[in-house]
Amino acid sequence: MPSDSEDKLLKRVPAIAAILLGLAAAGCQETRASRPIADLIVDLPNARKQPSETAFEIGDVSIDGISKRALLADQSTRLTYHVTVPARARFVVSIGVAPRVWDASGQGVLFLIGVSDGQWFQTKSSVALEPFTRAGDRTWRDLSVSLEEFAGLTVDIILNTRPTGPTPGNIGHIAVWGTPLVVVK
Amino acid sequence: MNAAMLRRRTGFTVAAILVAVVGVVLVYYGQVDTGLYYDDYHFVRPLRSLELRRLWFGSWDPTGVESPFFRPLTASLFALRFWLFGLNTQAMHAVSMAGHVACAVMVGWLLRREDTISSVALLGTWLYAIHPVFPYAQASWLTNQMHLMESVIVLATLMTWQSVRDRHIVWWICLLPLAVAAFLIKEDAVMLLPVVVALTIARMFLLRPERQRGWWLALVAAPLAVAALIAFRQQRLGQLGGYAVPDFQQAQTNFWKGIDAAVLLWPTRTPWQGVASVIAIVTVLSALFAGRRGVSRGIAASAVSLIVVLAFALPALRYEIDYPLVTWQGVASGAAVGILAIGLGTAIATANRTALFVMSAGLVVALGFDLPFALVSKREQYHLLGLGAVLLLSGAGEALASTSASNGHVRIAVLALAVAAPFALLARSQAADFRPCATPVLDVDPAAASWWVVPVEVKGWLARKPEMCRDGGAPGRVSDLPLVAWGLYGEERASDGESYRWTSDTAVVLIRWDIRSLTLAVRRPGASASTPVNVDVRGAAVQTIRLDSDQWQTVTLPLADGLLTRLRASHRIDIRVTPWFVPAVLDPKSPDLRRLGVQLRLKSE
Repeated sequence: MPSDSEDKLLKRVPAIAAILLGLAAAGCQETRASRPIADLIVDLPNARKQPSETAFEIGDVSIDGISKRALLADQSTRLTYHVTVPARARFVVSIGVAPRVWDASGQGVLFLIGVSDGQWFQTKSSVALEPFTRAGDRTWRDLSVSLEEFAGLTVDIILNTRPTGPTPGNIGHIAVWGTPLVVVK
Repeated sequence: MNAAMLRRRTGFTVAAILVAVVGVVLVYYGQVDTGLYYDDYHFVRPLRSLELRRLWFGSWDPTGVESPFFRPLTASLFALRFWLFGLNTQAMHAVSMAGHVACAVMVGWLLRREDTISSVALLGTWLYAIHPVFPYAQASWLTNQMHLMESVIVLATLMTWQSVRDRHIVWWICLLPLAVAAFLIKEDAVMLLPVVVALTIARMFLLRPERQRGWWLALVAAPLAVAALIAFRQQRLGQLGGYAVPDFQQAQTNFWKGIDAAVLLWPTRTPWQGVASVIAIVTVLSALFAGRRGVSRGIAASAVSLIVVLAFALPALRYEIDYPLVTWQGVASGAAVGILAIGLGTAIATANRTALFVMSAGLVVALGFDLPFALVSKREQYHLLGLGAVLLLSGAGEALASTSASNGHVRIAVLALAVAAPFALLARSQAADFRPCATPVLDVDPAAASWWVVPVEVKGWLARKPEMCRDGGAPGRVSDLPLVAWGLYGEERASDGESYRWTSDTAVVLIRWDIRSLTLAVRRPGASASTPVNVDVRGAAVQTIRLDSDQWQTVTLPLADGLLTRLRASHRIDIRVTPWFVPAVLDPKSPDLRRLGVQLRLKSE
């Protein structure tokens, strides 16, 4: 049989569990609003652009009825931004393929988001969109990458695009980086 | 606890310590001060506060040398180890030996608390101390001190489980922080709670305790806790990490490789493994036939068990490894596992529930902790499988002791002595792989020298090492280098023709213990009275150098002895520069993300 002290402890278990659950629920709440600290469209002039400056343009892109300020990247490209990362920072972006190429029997686009601390490159997210073959890809895809690991450091945020099909050069590779921001929560 | 009980406990602990120390000395004497090996070279370094924070949000190795794993506690303890010992490998290996002894003693207590006879508990201590799986897995390789820490926590968890399993359900919560700590050391500890649940169920069936309580909560809570740990890891690391995910066939091969290597001692690379196996099986067979009861049933049950156990070894026959000794070693290693089969048969024949439970506990530990190794299986990670093997062998010993006409101590002593030579010789040969001039060490030294984070002074020492090792020479210790620095970049040349190195925002310099002073010359181009730069130099005392021009400033630091100097076999100087700068921030077109502090010249006397 349980001892008296054990019985007392047992009676407190529901209360303790309720407190823990409450704390957990509070921890799950998105209580802080996001505050942008770097707009990568505004910072485009300072970014390293590969293969050339002309591979990129800035414009408003409307996908699925939602218009966003965006960077458009044609074919295989790489954008490299220096960012000094504060605590609780995330990189957020909406990716898509330009609607004007959806009906071309070209290839989709592979989006790669990476971070380099100067010594080590890490791919943080990779998504392939193929709007010609997948109707579900004819929309914005929201991505969010935690930069918490790099808080306090100056890092390179590297945005890559690659054609996913076998014949690069066809129409169908216009990647869209919509409102790319580094935000703090 | 009365005085007699306290005396018995103290006596057993002292005996276990003695047994463990003798075993460890037998295996590791002359092999302790074995220097650094491979991954050690980048783990033995100071971690900046930023890096210590990063560990909790990403990979355990912010340098990117290692594959990404979420092991924040391991990396933090490595940082603490460096703070305590610097590059003093002798002290670090001494800690490993002490830790291995502690684990062996805990194994003895674990067995003792399962009501095995005291000699069987000491046999467990002995087997753990000399088992050949541990030199690679936790005792000889400094990087694998993480396994040593994990072993301590796993053993502590199992002992805690022994304490709480018959108490109120609330007491089981004590297991949770231990399981979390083990998981933060290494991810294979995710199996700790499932293993505890499996042990609880095995105990219910085999020992039928009167007050088995809480098992149902453990059954429900363990999967939840495991899922939470995995989800936390995924959230922090953002990936599975580690190496590539194998296909099913490879996963099977990986799984059995661990059991084969740690429990069945198969496949093998050295003849001592075969010898160990043969002697073990002959000893056990002899002991069995010397028994006076349960022999005929024991033989029958043992034969069946042997077939079952050898069936476990059959997958190993698929290995396409061309060893000269493969045939004999295959037979011998299969026979080595026979010790378990004979013990199991004897336990069944004599209905020895204690022995059956200890053996099943060993099996649960070995199989449970081997499960994550389906992803990748390497002999340097079999420490918990080794624990399972020791429990299995100890359970077999308990069964054999119970068939003795007397109290069984003599039979256990014979068994312990019989396995001593082959196990210890095999373990010694494994430990010898970590000698500074051993071929495996020299083979990977060039890889270690290629890592950016390894200080240039250590790289130079590594480059000279093959020459020093030639003709049986000794390369000395890395702590004998006059000066080793972290946080300094490559050498550049100033306009006056003299060389200097940029510091990062922080730097750490270790200076050999017998050096009495260090002279630093520092300069920061662009420093002025309106934009001064402060350089804090922390040794025995703190000194601040204020740079208000771009001229070199020199300061000489006296180096004093202290406790930490002795532990490190070095003086440690910490340098902190404020403000520092990042070239890529000043010039967005610059690719240079380094933090730069001051230009530095060092001279020790």
